[in-house]
Amino acid sequence: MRMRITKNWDPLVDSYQLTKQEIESQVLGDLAKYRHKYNEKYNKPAPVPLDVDNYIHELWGFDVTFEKISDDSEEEETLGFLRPETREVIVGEDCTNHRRISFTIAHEAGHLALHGPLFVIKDGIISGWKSSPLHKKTKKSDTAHIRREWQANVYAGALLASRIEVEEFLKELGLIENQTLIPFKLNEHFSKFEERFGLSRQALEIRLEHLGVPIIKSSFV
Amino acid sequence: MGSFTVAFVGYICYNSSMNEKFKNKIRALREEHFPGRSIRSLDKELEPYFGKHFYAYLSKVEAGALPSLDFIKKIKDSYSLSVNEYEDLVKAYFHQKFEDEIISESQRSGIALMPEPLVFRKVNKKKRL
Repeated sequence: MRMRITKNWDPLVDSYQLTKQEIESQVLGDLAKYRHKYNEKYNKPAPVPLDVDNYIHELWGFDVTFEKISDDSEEEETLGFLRPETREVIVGEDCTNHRRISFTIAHEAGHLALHGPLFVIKDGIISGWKSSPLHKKTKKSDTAHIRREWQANVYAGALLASRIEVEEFLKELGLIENQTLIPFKLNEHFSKFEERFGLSRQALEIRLEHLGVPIIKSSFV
Repeated sequence: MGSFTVAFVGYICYNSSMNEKFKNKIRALREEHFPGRSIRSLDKELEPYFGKHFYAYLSKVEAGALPSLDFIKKIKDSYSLSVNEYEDLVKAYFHQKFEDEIISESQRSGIALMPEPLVFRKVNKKKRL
């Protein structure tokens, strides 16, 4: 992943654009690194499906801690955030849905993988947020925030359902014949997808759309 | 008086390191008995002992919260700890308990300040991903 940034670029106010393909390729690189590291350390292959809690621990030394998170807005619910100074991913303790927990952790992994300039890094270890001169909340910083959250969501989807694994799974389901993908009704296969990748229906639809997998959506879900 | 002060300061330092040792010890025991596995992946092994939310409780303990003694006993059974491992864990537990109850009160003042997180995963309450 190459990017060109200017001298006055402030990571807290601005952000860089990344395409889905660039994020996908970052995920593939990170996954390869993780599998290699895991195999070397434990002398066995990394678990399938991915143990995202272990993934974030092995790659960045972050641990998952469950805490009460108070909402600061009536419209939005905070599911998780990073606490880089103690290398923790904080997940709301009220969330008991493991698919959502996994997606939240994968989302935070996305920030660690893609948004390095936000963090203070000492001796190759993330140790806190980068402090920046106080800046006003501007349209530019809002856009950067929205962009970063979108990038982290794309990373999470690609991590929990990587292109290779989705293709293998489609073959297992008999949905690829003569190297051609047959359009299918997601309703008929959703429970199998859910069991394999642990994505919610909405997250799965977005992920399949990113992969260009043709699905027939039912209007009466 | 002088020797008492030195001894007391020495004791505080000793206990501070023990406190660190407790959370590190309980984490190290999990990593040793279940190598390469996260807390949440241990549902089959830990849920029968700690209930459905075992992962939330255990993650807090590994982050530094002090559990009950009963919890330590359950750790012994669920992790299949040896007698030595169990004894070491109990020792570390009581050192931390002592520090939390007696010494920490005089040392701690105010609320620990944490920098504001910059990135949150938020979802619209009506439209969840």
